[in-house]
Parts: sequence; C-alpha cells; structure tokens
Amino acid sequence: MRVRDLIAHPLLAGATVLAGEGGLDRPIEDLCWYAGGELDRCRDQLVVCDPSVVTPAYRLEAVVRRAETAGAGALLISGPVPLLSTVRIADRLALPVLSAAEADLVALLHGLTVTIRSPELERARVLTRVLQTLRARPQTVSASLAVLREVLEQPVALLAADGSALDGDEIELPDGLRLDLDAPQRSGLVVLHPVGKVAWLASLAAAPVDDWAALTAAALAAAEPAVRACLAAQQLTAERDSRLGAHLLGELLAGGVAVRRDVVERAVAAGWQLRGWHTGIHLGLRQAGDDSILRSARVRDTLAALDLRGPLVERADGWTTWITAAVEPPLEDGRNVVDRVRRALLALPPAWGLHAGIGRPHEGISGVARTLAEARDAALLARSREWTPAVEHVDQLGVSRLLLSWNESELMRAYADSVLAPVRRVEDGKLLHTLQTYLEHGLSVSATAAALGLHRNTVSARIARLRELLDADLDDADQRLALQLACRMLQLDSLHS
Amino acid sequence: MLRRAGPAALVAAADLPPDALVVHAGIVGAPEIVAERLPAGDEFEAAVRAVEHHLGTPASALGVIEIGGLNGLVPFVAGTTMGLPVVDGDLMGRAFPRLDQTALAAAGLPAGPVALVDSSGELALLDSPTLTGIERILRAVVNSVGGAAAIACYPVRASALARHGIAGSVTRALELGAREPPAGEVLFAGRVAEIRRDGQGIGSVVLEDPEDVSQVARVDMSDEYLAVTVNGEPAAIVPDIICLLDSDQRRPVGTEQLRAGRHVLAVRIEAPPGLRALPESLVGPSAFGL
Repeated sequence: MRVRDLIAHPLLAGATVLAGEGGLDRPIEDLCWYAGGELDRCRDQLVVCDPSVVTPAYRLEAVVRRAETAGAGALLISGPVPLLSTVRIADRLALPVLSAAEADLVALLHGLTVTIRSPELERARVLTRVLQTLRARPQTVSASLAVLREVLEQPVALLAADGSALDGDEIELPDGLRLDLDAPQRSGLVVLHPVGKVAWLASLAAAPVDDWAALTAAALAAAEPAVRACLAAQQLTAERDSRLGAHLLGELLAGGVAVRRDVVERAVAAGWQLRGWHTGIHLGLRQAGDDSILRSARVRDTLAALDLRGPLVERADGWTTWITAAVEPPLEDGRNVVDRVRRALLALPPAWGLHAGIGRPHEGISGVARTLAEARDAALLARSREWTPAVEHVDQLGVSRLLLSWNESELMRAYADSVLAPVRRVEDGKLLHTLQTYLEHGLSVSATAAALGLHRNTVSARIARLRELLDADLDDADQRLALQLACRMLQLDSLHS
Repeated sequence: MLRRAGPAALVAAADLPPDALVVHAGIVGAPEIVAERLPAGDEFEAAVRAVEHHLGTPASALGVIEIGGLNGLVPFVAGTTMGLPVVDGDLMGRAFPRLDQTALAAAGLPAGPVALVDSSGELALLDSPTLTGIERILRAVVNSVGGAAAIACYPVRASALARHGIAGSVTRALELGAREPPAGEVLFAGRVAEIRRDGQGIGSVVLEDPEDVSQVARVDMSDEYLAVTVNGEPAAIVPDIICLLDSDQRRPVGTEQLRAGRHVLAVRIEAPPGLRALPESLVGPSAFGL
C-alpha cells in the first residue's frame, strides 16, 4: 500500500495532505503511535502522532526530521497547523504530513491498523455482514441489492446480460468490460460479477484503491448465490405462469366464439378479465435472449408504469397483453394507447429490437381473440418499419390490412411471385428494393434516391434496368398498381416466414 | 536622564568592601507596557530605599538584574539620582523572563525582600521563603498596578555577589556593541514569513530567504528568543544569547516588534562563562518548556 492509497481510503476521507505531497508514492507497510522520545523502528510506517508531541506547532518540525531519519512513510497529526518552516522542510524531504483535523486519532489508529495490517480481516468482516444480513432479509433481488448497498456504502445494481439496468442504482459502465465473458471483472471503479449467464451484479467502488475494489468483488461474489437463487425462484414461478398463460391463451384463441366453460373458469382464476371491451397489444421481439424471464418482468413493470395493466403472456415472438374497459372506448382512445405503447418501447433497451401492434377494441370473450389477432398483424407490419419505436394500430393499416387478407389467397400469391420473378434475385434483391421504394414514393426518382441514400443517377440507372427486365409496363396505371400490390405482398410474406 | 545627571560610576563587586550592601534594581512587566508608560525615574530610588529601610542598612552600590534589554540601563538611572556606583556585572548574563533565573538563586541566595513601586508612587514590599512564592506574589502585584513597576530585589553582600554573580557584564556589553562588524555569529538572514503565538506558550517566527524560499529558519520565543533552527537543524538554543537584528540598521528587534515581511538577521552570541555555569534546569531549554 502506498500513502496515496491510504488517503483514498474511506477512513481518511476527512484527512488532508498538509505537506510533503512529493512523497505520496512512499510505501506504507505498517503503522505506529508516537508519543515522544526516540523515533526508531518506523521504517515505511505511518507514524500517528499524539497531539502532545506536535503542540505547540514548532515541535512538529523535530518530529518530521526524526521521522525522516528513521525512514518513516508518512506522519498523521491532528494538532495545530504546521509552521511554514515545517511545511517547507517536509516538502523538501518529500515526507507526507497528513492532518486528520478534528478526528479521534485513537479510533483512526484502530481502524487503520486493520486496514494496513490485515486487509483480509476487513474483507472477512464485510463478507460476514453481507452473508448474515442476506439471511435475515426477505429473499428477493431488490432486498439482496439493498444489503450490498448498505454494507458496502456504495451503489449496487443488477444488470441484464447485455449490461442494461434491471434493478438497483444507476451505474455507468466504463469501456474495457467484456460482457461476452461470464467472468468477474472490473474496469476503473466498476466491479462486475456474473449471475449465471443471464445477469451481472455491478457495484461502483467507493475508493480508487485496489484493496477496496477487491473487497467489493468479494462481497458481490458472496451475494451472488443468493441473487441467483432469487432469480431462479422467480424464473420457476414465471415459467410456470408463462406456460399456463400461453396454454390458456392458446385455448382461448382457438375457441373463437364458443370458448369452453372450463377454459373461462381457469382464465378467471388466473385473474384475466374476459368481460368488457378489450384492446389487444402485441410486443414483437427481434432478438430473443437467455434472460426472457428477466425481460418479462421488465416489460410488465414498464407497461404497468404507463398504466397498461393486463395479463402478460409470453409468446414465441414476444409478448401479448390486453387492456380492458367496462364500456366501449371512444375512437381517440386508440391514439392514446399507441402513444403509451410507444413510450413503453422507448423505455426498454433498444437492443431487444422491440416493435408493437395494437388491435381495435372488441367485446367479450371472443373479443380477446379478435383484438389480439389484429394486434399481432399490426405488429407484423410494424416490424417492417425502419424507424423506432415502431408501433402500428390496426385501424391505421388500411390497404396493408386488405393485403393481409389477400395474402391468404393462393391466386394473388402466385401472381406476385411470377410478376416479380425477373427482378427478385438480381443484385441481391437491390433492384426489387429499388422498385418497391420507387413505387411507394409515387415514381419520384429524387424521393427514391433520398430514401435509399443513393445518387439519383444510380436510381435512374436501376429503373432503366427494371423497365428492361420486367414484363409489366410501369407507365400503365393498372399494371403499376398490380406491381405495387405484388411488392407489398412479398414484403408481408417474408415477414411471415 | 543619564545625559543630564550621569554618568554613573562603574565598580567591580570584588572592589567593594566585603560587607557592603548591593541592591539590584530594574523594571518588571511586559516590554510593551513599559514602552507605553515610561517610568518617571524616581520610582527606582523609592524601591531601593524601601529595601534599605526594611533591612536597616543603606546600600553601597546598585546591581544589574539582567544585562539584556532595558534592565541593563535602569540601575544607571537610579545610580545617578542616588549618587551610588553600579556593579559591573549582572545576575543572568543575558535576559530571562523570571526573577528566579539568576546566578544568586542558583547559589541558594534569597531574592527578598522585594520592593515594587509603580509610576504613581504606590509601594509594595513583599517577601517569601521561596523564590517561586516571590515570583507568584510579584506577578499578582504587577498585574494589579497596571502591568509594569520598578523593582528592587536581591539585596546581597558584595563578597557574595563577587563569588556568585556574573562579573564584567556591563563592560562586555559595551565592548560587543562597539564591535564592527557586529558581534556574534549570523545564523540566518531573511524575511519574516510567519509569526505564530499560541496563547501563553512558546511562539515561533519563521524566516525565509527571499532568494530561495525553500531555505527557512525558525526562531522559537516567549518574551525572549529561545532557539534557532535552520532548515530543521538546531543552530542555537538557550542559554545562548539569541538576537534578531534589523538587516539595515543592525538594531535589535524585540519579539513585540516583529512584523511579517521585515528583513532581519538571526544572530547567536555565546553565553558568558558565568551563565553557562548555571544549572540547565534554571537557564537551559527545559526551563522554558522547550
């Protein structure tokens, strides 16, 4: 340990360096109490001076000289401000003189003795406190984090595998952390400990000292099994609920207008509201993760915070929920729901690639199935959007919705396949993409160029090539409409697959 | 006064008849107060007369209590007004703050009876079997008459003074003052950078070299300068005689005349042999709590 490390220790938070800053890198191996007389056997030690040996101020000067001769590491005093001559001499000798101001030197001596002589003792004490307190508290993740925060007196958080915050304090992650390796690590003041493969315990060390960071790492490691057990318990419950929920929802959706009585009973037992007017919400997930249970909890909390409260059912491609009102919601309520879902998406990590669809309000048990189907279709459309947060309301889909139903038609699909076949595989589909954009932008070359981020000459050249390859005539309104419909259908198709 | 009535005659203690009574005269109190309230001049005689009266013996000569500071001159003022010679010598060999820090005290001779007369003529005669007793009563009386008073003390036979006193101090002081360049060893020349007085205890003044401020000296003091430490190394300590002199005029700078920024020399003058012979507990560092 160096003098520099020592003064960074929380015990010396109130101390100041009065003189001898040039010696802050001197080693400190031990410490001693000096109450006058000879000062020997204090090589590389912190010499804590009894106030009587440094009062009046002139007496400190002799102590500084004696300490330097004996090879001391630093002096700690709490007496009067040193004389200018003493400061100059300590500066010249580069012997740090620390002042503990009003602190009780004896208490400080005891605290520092443990820190300097046996850092492992301090570590053991902290670990014991962590383990004892964890046992005494309710076994939840939040309570475990609170225990760590209390014992370490520093910020503590639970992070998802990708580093996004799940619970606890806000901790900014510095560069240099390898979240892809599930191994304990630290960078700067931030210390990370993996919780299984699904999360991280993180803490911000209170002092820039190796010992303190090691202490933090040990405390996180000690608390990790408890946190993992909580997560596992949560996961078990959540998985059971989720499986039951998915099963129940499946039966509910399959039933159509005639849902079996026992299914209704089970749904009501699960707390699902089946009477009234339901508005379905489907949250689509582009990027599935190992931590879906943690994510579910986060999604539920986020939606609840925006007053979107309903059963949340985990599905293969994301989550489904619905909100229920006693009477038919007015039309403008749809916009309000879109707005809240958009805010929910903004609050969730962008890395998940979330998009959402919202159904129209439908009444009764069969209404649940209808609005959820609409919501899922709308989500599918939202997925194709290139902006975020992508939220679609089924009411606003218009032609897209028409297409969704046409998509069921074999005839339509066969036409789309054949008419677009000549350009489909050309240049990795770039030509097809250009055609789609060109048609969507009302045959404007400049608008197409802007949307694709290309030069308009490039777009013109591609369109010339399209006219060559396609059987259809782009100048004919009917043929253009058919082509555009085919393009849209193809887009939907690729999403479905 | 000296110019008007002086000069007073100087006599060696050994040259006086052995039975002749010598009374020591001076001023007690803080130098600042004496500078504010100058003595009238006749209170010294009144103090000496009070001691003579108490003992029933007339004084044959006056003695110098301490050669340092104003008390080196007071007996001459009293001597001219009383027509008495002054003994060439003193009891301290320099200046000390307490009345018990004398060569006579070290020899076990009493300081009393002691007479105190203030500038308005009020007189106190006091005595005690112990020096510390006298010292205690003295301080109380001096405080009650405004912080300074004329004193007559240490009435002693010439033979005892010749044996125990510090002889030749007056001629030695005159000789030192006349020397060019000034006597003594210059320990440090610099500017006053910090003055620290922690209540009643020992204060310090820090001098720094204006050319190189890493060069520093510390002079510890009470009413007198007690020790000099140059760059952390002890350079002089009581009973050495330590003076701070003004850099330009070479006049002594008393502890009460120190001002930050003033350029001074720290000078050490070796203590006279008589002073060095006194016990450390009386005149050494421990006598001042150093």
